[in-house]
Amino acid sequence: MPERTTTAEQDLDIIRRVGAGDHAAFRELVERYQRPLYTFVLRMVRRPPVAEELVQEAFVRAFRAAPRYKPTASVSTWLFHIAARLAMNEAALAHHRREVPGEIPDAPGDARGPLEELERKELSQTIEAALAQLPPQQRAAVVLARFEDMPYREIGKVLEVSEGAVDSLLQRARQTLARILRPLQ
Amino acid sequence: MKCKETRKVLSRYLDHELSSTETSAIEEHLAGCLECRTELETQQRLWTLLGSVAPIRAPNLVAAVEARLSEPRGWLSFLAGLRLRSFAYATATVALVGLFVGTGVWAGTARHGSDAREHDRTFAELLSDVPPGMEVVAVLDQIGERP
Repeated sequence: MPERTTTAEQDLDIIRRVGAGDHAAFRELVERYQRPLYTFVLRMVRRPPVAEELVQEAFVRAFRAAPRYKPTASVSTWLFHIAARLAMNEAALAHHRREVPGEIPDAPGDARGPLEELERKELSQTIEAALAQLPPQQRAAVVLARFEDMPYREIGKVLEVSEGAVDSLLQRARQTLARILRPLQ
Repeated sequence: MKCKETRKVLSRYLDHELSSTETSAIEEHLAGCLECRTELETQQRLWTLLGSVAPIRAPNLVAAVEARLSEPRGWLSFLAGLRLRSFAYATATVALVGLFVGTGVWAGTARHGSDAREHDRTFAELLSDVPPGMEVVAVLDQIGERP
């Protein structure tokens, strides 16, 4: 993900151009944020085709809402907020339908041999499965805090909760994950 | 700072969410409390473990997103958003219902027309058998159609 402190102004410039209907600027925005948004949404919905669909929809909504964008939150937080709403709805529906979470395909790692690669994959899948057991809001908070290094204030804006609520979500998530992953620690 | 207060903010401490004053206070407590230090290390290990998850391969969505932007909006996008298969099923159902209804109406009209023509022909034949000077009422009595 682009470093927020150094890219915030660039993002602002891009989003202003997107708001004016500049398609090249929009392409730049998608290229910048497709990876962090996709990994976040995939960890929420755990189905690659669904994640792709939702991220595409998030970008289309961002393009259409760009003329009304107000810099009360960073562009990054604003995009995550749009994606989070879509992902949380889908995650809640999947939970309601009692769908079994799918496996997340990972990129080839830098393991030295097949055995090490297998161990790496197993460890990764165990951790992803543990994350999948968390309720959607706790999962979102953990993914944003751990994998996106997002401050509580921004996580709160993404999830539409207070900073105190983010703290509470993360504490409960940590307790659950510690219990599930105890054999690995 | 006591153990209970320390545990309450340990998560925030790990995520660098505390002020410098709070950080100093918690570090002072941790220096002298083995239990809280152990708890801190457990949470640190968990966070490190989560970081060992493999990176996710992300697809390039630029072309797909741009294609979606050119899709129609409003009620047109609603229509476009309908699943093609559902739309095909709906169209087929409407066509079949239309076909059945149309066939029924046509058959009914055809039968009705055919019956009417038969009735007219019989009436004309009867009239041809009526002797000259016979009253209309008597003719109607003969064919059973007197009101």
